[in-house]
Amino acid sequence: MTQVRKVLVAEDSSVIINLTKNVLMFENYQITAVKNGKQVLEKLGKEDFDLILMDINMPEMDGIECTTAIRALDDPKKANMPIVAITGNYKNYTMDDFKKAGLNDYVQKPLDYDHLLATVKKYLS
Amino acid sequence: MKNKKILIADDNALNRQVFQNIIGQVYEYDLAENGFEVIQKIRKNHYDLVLLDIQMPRLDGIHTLKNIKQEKLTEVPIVAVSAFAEIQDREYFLSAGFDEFLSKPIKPKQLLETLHHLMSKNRGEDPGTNQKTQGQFEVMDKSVLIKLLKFNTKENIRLVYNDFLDETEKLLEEIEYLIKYGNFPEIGTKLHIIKGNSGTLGAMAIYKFTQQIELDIKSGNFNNTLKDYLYLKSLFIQFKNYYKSSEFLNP
Repeated sequence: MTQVRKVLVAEDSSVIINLTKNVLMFENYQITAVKNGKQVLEKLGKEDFDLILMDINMPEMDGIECTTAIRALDDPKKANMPIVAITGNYKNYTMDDFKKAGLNDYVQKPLDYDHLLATVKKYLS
Repeated sequence: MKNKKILIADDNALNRQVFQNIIGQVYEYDLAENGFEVIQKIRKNHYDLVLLDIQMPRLDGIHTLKNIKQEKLTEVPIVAVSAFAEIQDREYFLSAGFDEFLSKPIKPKQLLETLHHLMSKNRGEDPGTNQKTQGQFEVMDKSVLIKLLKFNTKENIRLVYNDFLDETEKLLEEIEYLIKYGNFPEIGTKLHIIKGNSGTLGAMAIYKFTQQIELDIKSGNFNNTLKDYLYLKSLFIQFKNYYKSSEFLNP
């Protein structure tokens, strides 16, 4: 058996968190949810994850700032982990901005869960 | 709406960015930097509309259009965009075979209205006026529910919709408060959450309407914000009633 993969979901809406949890549990991923970028960094300080699903539009610290901070971490394993953006693109970020911040991929809102799952699987297989 | 895809052709990166920012709110898009790329892309992919800058290196907009028409590459609407043109020149572009003409600098609202109009005309639908029309979208898109059922138990789905109702109610209260105190720009982030959730859950009327108000808020137009808020609230009540009377969601 393969080991359990751990996904950190950062999203400020509980609706999306719950749906995403259900979808990811379908593949037996282990899900932890946080509500903003600051909490992502706190969690990462204490635990290891295999992938982060990151909402771009979050209070406290948005997804772009948070990704930039993760890419600058000392631990190479954490600094290089896959990060997938979830975005309704409120702040008019472009694909270029995502790439510059170091995001690996993005899925757009409204979420298509088949697409979300396929994208996550791509980085975890 | 997101399933519509637009090919944006402009040689200037800044202009492409402007188009991307506006169009990306509503439609999928692809980019091209000159006429050759446009032709290559049209050969390979399907687009619902092409935006063609007139002044481009290698192959300009006029010649690109000629090429497309001669080789019958696509029948979808093609819109000319030009900075060095006056409104009078519209006739020239239309006679050259373009479906519409837009002059730079681009006005976001006009651009989106033109795209919407041309693409709904193309489907043989009433083009309408693209005002914030009422009753144009269904309260609930049931195909979304069916998709959700793939990954969620009915019980889970109900919990999520209950969450959505609670969260939206709270957000609407917060928006009302912001309106009361004239803090209009802040409304955008609240609307954005409602937009993402309603779209994901198939509450189409709410989704489409928040999409439109969000554009106004972002461009700093707050003239209709109170009116729009009240209408959004009525859409929410409509959805809530639908939810309560739905045998599936609320047996």
